[in-house]
Amino acid sequence: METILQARDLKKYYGSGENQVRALDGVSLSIRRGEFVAVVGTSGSGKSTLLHMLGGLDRPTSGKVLVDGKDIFRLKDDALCIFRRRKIGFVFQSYNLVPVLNVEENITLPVELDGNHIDTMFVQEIVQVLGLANKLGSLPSELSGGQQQRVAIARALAAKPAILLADEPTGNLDSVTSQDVLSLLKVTSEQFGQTIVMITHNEEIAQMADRIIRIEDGRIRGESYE
Amino acid sequence: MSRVRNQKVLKKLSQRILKSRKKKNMISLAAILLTTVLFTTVFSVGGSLIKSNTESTMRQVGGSTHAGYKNMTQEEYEIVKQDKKIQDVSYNIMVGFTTNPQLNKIQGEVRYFEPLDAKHSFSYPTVGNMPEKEDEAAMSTIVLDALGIKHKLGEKVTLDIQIHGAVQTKTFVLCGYWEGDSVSHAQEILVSRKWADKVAPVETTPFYETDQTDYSGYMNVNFNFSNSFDIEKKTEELTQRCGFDADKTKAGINWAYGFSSVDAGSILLIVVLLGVIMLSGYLIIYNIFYLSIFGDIRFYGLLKTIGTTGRQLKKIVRKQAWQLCLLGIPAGLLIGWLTGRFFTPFVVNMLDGITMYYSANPLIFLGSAAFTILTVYISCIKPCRMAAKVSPIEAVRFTEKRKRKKTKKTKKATAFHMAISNLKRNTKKLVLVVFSLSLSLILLNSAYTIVTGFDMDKFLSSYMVSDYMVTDSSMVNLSASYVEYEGVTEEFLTELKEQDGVKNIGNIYVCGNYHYYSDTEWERLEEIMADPAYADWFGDSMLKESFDYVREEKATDIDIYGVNKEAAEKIQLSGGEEIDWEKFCTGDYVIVNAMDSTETEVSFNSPFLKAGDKVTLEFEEGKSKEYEVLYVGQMPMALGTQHFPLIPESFILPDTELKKQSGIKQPMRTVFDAEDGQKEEIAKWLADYCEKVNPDLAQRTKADYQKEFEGVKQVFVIAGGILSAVLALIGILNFVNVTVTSILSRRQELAMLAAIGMTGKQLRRMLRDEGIVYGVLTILVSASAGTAIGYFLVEAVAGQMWMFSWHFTLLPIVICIPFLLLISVIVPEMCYWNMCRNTVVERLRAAED
Amino acid sequence: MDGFVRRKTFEILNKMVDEALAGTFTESDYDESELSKLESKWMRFLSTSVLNREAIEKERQSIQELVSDISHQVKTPIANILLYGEILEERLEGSKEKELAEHLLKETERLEFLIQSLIKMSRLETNTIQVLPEVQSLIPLLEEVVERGEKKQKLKGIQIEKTGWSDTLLACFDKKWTEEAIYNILDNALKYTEENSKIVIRIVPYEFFVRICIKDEGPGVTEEEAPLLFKRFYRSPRFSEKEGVGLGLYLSREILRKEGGYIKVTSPKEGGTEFSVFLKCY
Repeated sequence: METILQARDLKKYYGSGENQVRALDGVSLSIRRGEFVAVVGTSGSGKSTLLHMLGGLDRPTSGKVLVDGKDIFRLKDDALCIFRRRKIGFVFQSYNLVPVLNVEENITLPVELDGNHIDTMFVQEIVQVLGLANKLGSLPSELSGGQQQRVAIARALAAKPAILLADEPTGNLDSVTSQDVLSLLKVTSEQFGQTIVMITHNEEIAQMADRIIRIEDGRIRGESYE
Repeated sequence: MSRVRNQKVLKKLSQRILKSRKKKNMISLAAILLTTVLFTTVFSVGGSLIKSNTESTMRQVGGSTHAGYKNMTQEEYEIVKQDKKIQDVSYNIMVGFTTNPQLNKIQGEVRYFEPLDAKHSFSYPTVGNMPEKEDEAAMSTIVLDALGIKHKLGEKVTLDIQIHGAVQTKTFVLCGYWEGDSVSHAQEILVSRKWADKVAPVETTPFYETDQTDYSGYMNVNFNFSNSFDIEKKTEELTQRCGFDADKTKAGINWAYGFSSVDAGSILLIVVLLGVIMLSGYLIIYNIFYLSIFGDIRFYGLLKTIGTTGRQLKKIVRKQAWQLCLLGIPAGLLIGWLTGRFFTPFVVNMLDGITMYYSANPLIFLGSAAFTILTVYISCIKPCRMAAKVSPIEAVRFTEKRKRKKTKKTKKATAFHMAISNLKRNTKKLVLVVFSLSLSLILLNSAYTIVTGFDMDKFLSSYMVSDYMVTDSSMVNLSASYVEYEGVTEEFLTELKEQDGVKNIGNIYVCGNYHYYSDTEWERLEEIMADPAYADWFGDSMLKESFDYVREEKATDIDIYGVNKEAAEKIQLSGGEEIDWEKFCTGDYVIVNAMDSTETEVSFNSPFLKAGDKVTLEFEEGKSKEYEVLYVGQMPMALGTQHFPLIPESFILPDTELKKQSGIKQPMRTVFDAEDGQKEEIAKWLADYCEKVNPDLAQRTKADYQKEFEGVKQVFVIAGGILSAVLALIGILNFVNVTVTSILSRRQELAMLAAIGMTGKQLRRMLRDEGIVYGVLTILVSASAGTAIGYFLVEAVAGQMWMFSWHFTLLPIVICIPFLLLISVIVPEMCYWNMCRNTVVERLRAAED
Repeated sequence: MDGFVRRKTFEILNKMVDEALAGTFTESDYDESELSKLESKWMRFLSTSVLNREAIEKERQSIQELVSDISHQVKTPIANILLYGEILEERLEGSKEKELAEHLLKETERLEFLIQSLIKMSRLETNTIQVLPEVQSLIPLLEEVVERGEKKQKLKGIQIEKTGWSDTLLACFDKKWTEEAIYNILDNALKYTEENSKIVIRIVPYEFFVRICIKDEGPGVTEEEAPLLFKRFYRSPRFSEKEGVGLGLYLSREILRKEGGYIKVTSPKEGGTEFSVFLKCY
């Protein structure tokens, strides 16, 4: 299977001198299309920073991230933004839905921002799979955490991104809901051939993945290979 | 590359954001509204002023066309008429002037008018028709009233008309009339072409080839250009095109269209005013938007994470602003126009001699809207940039927040020291806040200084020295073409004396005469004219010709006043002498004034003559008499003619003497006081008399002027108050902005401080200390540098008003101190609580992982 | 004006690509425009790539058919070998060579199992067999699975504990294939767990899924091994002596994936292996 996402010797340092914090200290990894990869690490291990780098949310001190063979940090800010909405779907711990838009509008927002016609069939399918069909008109504030996260997943998928990046997607959810959300994530990724990189500190959750990458003090400390 | 189409979703987003933040938007909306109101007010006052000016001038001039040629022959008219760049060409033919004694007060001009020109000259009959038959004539109601003829078609009107130097008497049938305008320089009497051709056929000799005294039979051609811009140049070009000699054929430009009335000073004032409004609008809107965006920064960060570009975010912000404009501007235009209407009378009243017209010119609204939009646009630039630049991880940051650790050097870490060092970090903002808060205080102080500095006595002294004053109405109507200097009738004086409670009746007579200077007098005058202190007066380039004429002739027009005893007592004499009425009354003495007695200041440094000098005064019909100067003294402005001749010299004689020497019979002014308790009754009687018994008389009472004075004061109170309030608002907003920004941008730091044991109490103290530093600095700046700025401000605004006298006060600032300190404590406190609310939520969330 | 034309052009281009992605692209009018030229080229490109795709698809199909054919063709010979082997075993009763015959039979059985698995696999992959999930009661399915394993279970003296078995539970699955998938897991557990131990079959309902946990007291899996278990022909080097071809779990995963569920494996701290089957329940 082809490589879709590659990180080469990624470094991110904050501050300087004695106070320098090395959030990422030379991380290299490669993710293939359709993989479900979990990045596991304790709080402060640099896993979130890694995810931000992979998604082009933040620029590294040095190193490269290649998505579909393209070095994303060569892009200017606005271009990076457009890259993000076309190629990357994000699912965050805090859902990060747009509070003023209803479920349907939230889901289609990235597509609309790109000025594309909405693939109604596809959206309907996602909505069906994620069990949101009867919530389309609701505002995020009217939904439970699990429901909100499902909307976030739907939003991430709607633009048919190359990669879906999930940052502690179940961090704010109870264990039962977590299981459901993760199951949906897994099932949808399989169903739509989606590549997923998920960050978690929870081993059990990480077990869902095809592959687990462990990160510690900004470096990769172990990997399970297929 | 073509842009992808995403306007719709951006619009949706911005609309939703607007909807969800109603409270915030009300504030933004109010800011836009306020700006629009300010702009519209200025524009509509300005517009009304221009319109009033234009309309009044047109009425004075008696025509609304852009320009015209006077005294043309038929041949010349034909040439002008051919020109393609002018339109609405029409003419009138001068026939003659009326000489009926009843029409002395008005200049009656008899002409044949083309209907179009009659309309342009405001002389088109509203009742009846234009004259067609030989014996028909149309005229204004003013002429009819003066002749004592009923406003009724078919009435017989007999006129004495001077045509080609000879007076003809003719009885016309009234075929039409219109409501006359007393402001007009002349009253037109329309006759038929037939009669005009008969008595004054159109001349064929060009006017400039005659001795230029006989206007009868010449055509006055009036026309419009395509627009009123730079009529002067257009007229010059027209003269050239027609092949006229510009020196001989004079074109008259309707100065109602010229902006000559709007001098550079007014333009500067308007520019400054617009600039100030824009600046304040900018500061308000900018601050509110900035705060609003800052508060939502995570929201924008979130939008950015999911792929909204900076440009799109900018658009979202901007669209919100436009949508607010859509609501705010129309409302602002309406309110602004109404406030404009409210203020217009005050401003128009400040400029004398203008009748007020309200303008609703679309340009006012377009201009105000355009300026507001421009202001909003500029205000949005920075908030937009902030939204565009928001870091996408801002929205997801808190998950890894605890990582950053900073070891801080502990150098006397008291809350106060920390506050000071925090302030030092952003001096630019510190200056901005202190500056805008100070400015507000300074303005308030200045407004207060101006208002309290208005001296009612000083104000009244130039208008009223007694409780009541009566004069001919033409004396107070500054645009009247003919001024009656003998208007106070015997009947009135008789009745006045019969009134209970009237006392101190003073009569002032005046006789204007051509005065030939004796050699000694002239020497003295030369001295004065050479005095650099009066260079302004005598050096006026506009009047150079006139002064040259005076020098050549050694003669000029002067006023000779006659006063009775009561009036004489009002005269201010040099050295504060009391007048010796007995001696003065003998008729051999005269009082002369000094060059430096102005309307506001009475001083006698440069008397035209000294006591003991002899002077010969000429009266009508060659009579003259030599007098000895008894005193140097000044007739109070309120009692004088209130016009300013080339040489401001005037003489005062006893009334008996003046009446004896000249033909003057009736007083120019009569002033009197009333016993306390009867003032109102007398005022009522007086008003009644001047309205019903003799409408030619005009009366003024002290109370009227007091009211007017209060009105002027009120304008300053309102304007100063509003401006101070606006500036205070700006200052407070800046303050809030700075505090919120500093709290938010230091949120992590504050959390860290809290983490290392800085309690909420200490934190609040730190913020409060920061606020107090702002407050104290503001007070210091406004009380020190502010007084200097305030002085200049006051001088610039009110220094020119004679009724104003400056005195130092800091009372408003002192009164404001507690409020200011209160604000400097409350604002950080509120910001702190707001911050707490946010961080608690975040902490809860952060605790879950 | 210019902008409008450009915008229009890009709109058409976008539409062309969208249609191509959906496989519905056809050329519009032919004219002299650049656009029309582009359309024609686009069509050509699409058709060649479609041809390519079709060719690849065909190739894959033929390989699958070949596998299927081979499997079918070897079925009878294997049945015959088994038959003759059994006869041979009977004949050799009591002799020393009987052990050899037993070996022969065992290997043949293994071969038969392998072939059957291959057939199932190829049928699944070629979609000749459709997995048709429908919402139905879960318990009968599990009862049948357990019944199928009863023989082996009794043989090893293994106890099966059922927790959370509620008759009202519904899930969405294809009964025949899901039985196959879950049986493979149970079979695996029966194979690797100790004799006289316990297997727990626990059902946990969620909002969207129902989870069936099958936990044994066997040797467990390492974390590295976990994702490999479901690969084709994977056999743990630790248990090479155990019989099996390494296709069962792969089949299970494929079946479950086809009906919108999935499978995961963990090793709880207290030991053993726990397979969790997630079935959609909506």
